[in-house]
Amino acid sequence: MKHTFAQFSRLFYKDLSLQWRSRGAMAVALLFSLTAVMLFALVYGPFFSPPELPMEARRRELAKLASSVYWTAAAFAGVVAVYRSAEADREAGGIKAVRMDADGSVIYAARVCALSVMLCLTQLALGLLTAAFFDIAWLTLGDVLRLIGVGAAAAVGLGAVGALMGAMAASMRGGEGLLSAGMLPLQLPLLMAASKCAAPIWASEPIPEKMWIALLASYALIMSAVGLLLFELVLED
Amino acid sequence: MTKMQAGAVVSTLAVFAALTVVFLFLPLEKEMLEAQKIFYFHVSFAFTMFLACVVTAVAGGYYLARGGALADAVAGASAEAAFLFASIVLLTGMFWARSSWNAWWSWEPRLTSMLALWAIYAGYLLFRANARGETRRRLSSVYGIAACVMVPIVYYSIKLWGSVMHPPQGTIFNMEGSMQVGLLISFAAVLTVYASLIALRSQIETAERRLESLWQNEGGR
Repeated sequence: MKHTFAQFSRLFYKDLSLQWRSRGAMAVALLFSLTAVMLFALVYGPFFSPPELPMEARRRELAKLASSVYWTAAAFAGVVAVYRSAEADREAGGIKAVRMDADGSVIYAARVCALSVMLCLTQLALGLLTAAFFDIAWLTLGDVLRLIGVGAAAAVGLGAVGALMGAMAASMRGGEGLLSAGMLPLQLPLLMAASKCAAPIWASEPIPEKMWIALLASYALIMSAVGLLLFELVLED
Repeated sequence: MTKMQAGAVVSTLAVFAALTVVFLFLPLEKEMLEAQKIFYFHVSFAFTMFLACVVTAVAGGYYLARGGALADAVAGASAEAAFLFASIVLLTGMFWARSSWNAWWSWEPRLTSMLALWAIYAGYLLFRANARGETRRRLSSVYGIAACVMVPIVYYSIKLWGSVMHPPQGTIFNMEGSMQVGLLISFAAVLTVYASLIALRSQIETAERRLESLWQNEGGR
């Protein structure tokens, strides 16, 4: 148990360092987000919103828009992070090297955690951008905590699918090109649930449909379990 | 006549029989008239699609546990059928929606989750088409198992989120007798189509695999 934990910590640190070293790629994701936020904000956003709209309705509309733009950008950031990790595996044979002394499930768990941390950090930056550009100033501390909760659950789910698909893409010639085609559909239920959960929170309202929270949490858990069980098989030569 | 040709003839006859029963013998529904006939095939393709998704995952799991060319061929063929049937379900659903709700599309739970499932199997086929050899078999088996997680979400979407457009589960047991018979016949016809497709595609996969191993034995010349 102690040995497994030591292996996990070592691999987690390695994956996180790898992600951190390629943070330039995350800047690309943030730039994409900035473009998306700017375009949506200009077309629908606070600058030209009809003044006759009551404040509450305006807030709700802005929150819906903010949530969809935010999660589109977060999905793109996830693809970039997983792409970098798959590329590193192919270029440096990273995964083959760590396989020598670690079990597949430990490698997977460490990778999911590292990806989740990186995605959480990106989401934090994205959240600030979204709040600033959509002029969302009404969030309370409770709302921010709820957004962090939704973001963290989604990050684990996106990381779980991403780690599995990244390893699959790395073991195929030219697999990185197919990564988004294989990964995004599997992440769709998570992204849908996260955006539906986040939209009312951005408007500082309670989440009316609790099923979305259940879908977000259960899909993240199920995908993590599927990954833990199958990751070893993905790594086989 | 080969087994494959016999299968194709049986499934063609079954579809022809189902179309005849549905369009010539079943009574017209009072409100939707002819458009209601879509229902028999829409539901049959939907159930067969669920079956195809489960077969993909089970055959993939079998391949990962025990290996075997046939299991992988069945998994691949079943995923193709799942994608094809999901496309048919979406299309027939759109025609139904147009005549019933006067809109081609609605973002209600069943349609939305169905679209997500369609995208997942499109991803499966892309992945499978671009990998080679043992990697292709192993990775598509893993993907097939992960993709199957979406099946219960689509099936229970009405129960989970509620919908005024799709009836809840079990409605078919309370339908009129003639409609139940029509549905059973069309379901049997679609099942024979599925079985024929699986047999045909599995045979093609096996032939491709033989060709691949011949190519490898020849040193890739």
